[in-house]
Amino acid sequence: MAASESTRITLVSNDGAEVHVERNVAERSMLIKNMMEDLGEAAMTQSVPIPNVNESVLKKVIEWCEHHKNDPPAAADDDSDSRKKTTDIEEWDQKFMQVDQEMLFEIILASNYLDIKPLLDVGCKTVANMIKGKSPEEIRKTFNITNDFTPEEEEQIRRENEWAEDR
Amino acid sequence: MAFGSLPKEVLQQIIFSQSHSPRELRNYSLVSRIFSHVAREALYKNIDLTFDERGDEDTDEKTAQRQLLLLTSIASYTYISANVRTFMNFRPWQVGYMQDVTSDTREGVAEIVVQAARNMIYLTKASFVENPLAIEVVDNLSTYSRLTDLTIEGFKPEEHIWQPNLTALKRLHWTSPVRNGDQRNPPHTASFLIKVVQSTCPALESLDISLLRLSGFILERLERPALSMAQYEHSKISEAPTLTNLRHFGLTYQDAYVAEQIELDAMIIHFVTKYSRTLKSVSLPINRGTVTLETSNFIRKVCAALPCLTELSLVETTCSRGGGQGITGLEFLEELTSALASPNREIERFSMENMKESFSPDIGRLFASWGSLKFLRLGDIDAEFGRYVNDGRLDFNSYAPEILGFIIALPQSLQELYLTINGFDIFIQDTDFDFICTFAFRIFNILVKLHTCDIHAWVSNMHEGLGSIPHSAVFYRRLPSSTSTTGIQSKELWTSRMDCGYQGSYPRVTKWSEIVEGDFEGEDAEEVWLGGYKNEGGWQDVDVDYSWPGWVNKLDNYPMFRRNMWK
Repeated sequence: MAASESTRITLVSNDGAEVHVERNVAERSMLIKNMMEDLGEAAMTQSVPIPNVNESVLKKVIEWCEHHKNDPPAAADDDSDSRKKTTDIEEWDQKFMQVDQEMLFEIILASNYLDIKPLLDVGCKTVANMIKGKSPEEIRKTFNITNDFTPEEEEQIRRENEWAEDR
Repeated sequence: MAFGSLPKEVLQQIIFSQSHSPRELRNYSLVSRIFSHVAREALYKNIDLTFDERGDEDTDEKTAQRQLLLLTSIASYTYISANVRTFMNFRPWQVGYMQDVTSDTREGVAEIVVQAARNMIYLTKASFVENPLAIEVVDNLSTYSRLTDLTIEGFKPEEHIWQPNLTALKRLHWTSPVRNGDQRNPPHTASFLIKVVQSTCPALESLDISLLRLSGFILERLERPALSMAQYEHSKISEAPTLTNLRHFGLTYQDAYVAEQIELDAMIIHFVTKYSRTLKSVSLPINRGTVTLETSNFIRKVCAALPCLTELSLVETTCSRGGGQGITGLEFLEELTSALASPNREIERFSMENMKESFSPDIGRLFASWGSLKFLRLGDIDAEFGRYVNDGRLDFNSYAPEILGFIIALPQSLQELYLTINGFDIFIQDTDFDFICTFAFRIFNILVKLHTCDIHAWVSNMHEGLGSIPHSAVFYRRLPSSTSTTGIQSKELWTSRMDCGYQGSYPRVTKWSEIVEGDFEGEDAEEVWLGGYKNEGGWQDVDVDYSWPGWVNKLDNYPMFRRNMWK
């Protein structure tokens, strides 16, 4: 048996599909990494259920993990202020994220659930770039969001944040 | 799967994943309730009232209105003030001080400011000059149970201090003014503050006390007695260390009488000896003029008391220590580098604003014995007294090779290097600096861990004298290369060059890069200098709203430019 095959594991999506993947690729997910450590040797023979992610999203996430399997581990410091805030997304990730909105949000949710911080970061930056510079109405239109404010609430928010308005 | 299904923490991450202007965040707050909630957190998390000089009355008026509206919102709604984590109306590196709304003396404003202070109960970090908001926070510090980082400038602890209750402070930097005729002299101020922190700040990790004559700004004095001062007068401090987490201590002073300097030095020795087991970093004063044997002995005595020392910063002030036997910068550095040489000592960071010598390979080789050195910030002797001046003009043709020789003689462990050329009364012409801007390939190939190297020339020109930024500067950055071939390491070396031409006009900033191969090690720089900033030498955006918030003078705010000369 080839060395790479010996380290393959099986993930099972919430719609019952089996996805075979190299262990080091799957362990870009901190959730899976911790599960594998908890399971020990048994992890190599048992399937690992991923109950919150369907097959198509899981395969997409694995595609990202495969491409980034040799990236250095993310810094432990998770303070949002200390992390570099940038709109930059590397070219491969930009293409990877060229999916419809539903898939984009599914990837973000899956990366949040599977605890893959760099993928979550790329997903969030992609959405952030989509809202940047837009008016409230344009943002609602882009993402089909309902305005759930009463006129009084909206007026109150305008008043509170008047200092940030253009003058 | 719709946007509305995303949980709040993901929406938070979307908003916080990149910088958004206040105007953008205000727009997000009007999209929907959940958007409003998250946008409000981002909008009010970090309050920074500082702004840069624009010389425009309309802009100043707009700024004053906006700041008052902001503080009114914080003072009026606790669901807004509960989001505030950091508050700043002072940047330690800022030249001068622009008076913001916290010092506004108009009727009713002080009440708003004080109420805002009372409402910001979840503050974690604050940076203040004297104003009613700062005083409210300082007087009642123990009620701000999450406030761990505090920077104060412009008033004395004897004037405003917190009650003797435990605080959450981990880092405190207090720059206290030295005033003529003040009965509470610099040793009294330092001694009192040390007593206060030992009584009330058990979690303290870093303490900096600077006793300086402040000339950058003058605020109207707020005549209020320090209500709590008397409560400390009879408190006894244990001789055993009470600050068990203390890692850094700095005590620098300026314009103190010789007897006071001797008292302050004794205080430093006593304090570092008491905390010798935990202290890893110290900042000490060194005379702006000639270094004396006494100063050298004092600095080495402090270092000798600290077996775990990894960081040493020598801050240039006026502290003659009563004169004594003058020594050269070379002699001083020989003694210091020898006393702190590896492997017995592991100095990782060293700063000295004026080493009283010109850069040369010999000086570089002295540091080669510091095998753990990662960060070096060093300024040379004022060129007027150095070897490379010709008719009032700095002779870069002769000096540049010496600077290069200095750099490549430094230890291989070095990651960041910041050099200052001090030439206050001499001039250069822009072309003089050309050779200095050609070092990238040589320095990064030899110092394989180096990723950042700045050279700032603080020299005058024939017309205007010194400005608020260097006359000329070069900023080298080593970044990953996107064209790496398997098995061969390559890096992209960026050079950013700044030339002021005439100080006071907007400087010209250009940048270029080259791909090089080599055996590089360690981390790369995060970005090209100032995020790749460029300017052709004019005011770029004539339509920009220069009022607060939003506009920041990036050049003036580069934190690695030396600032101490104005204080």
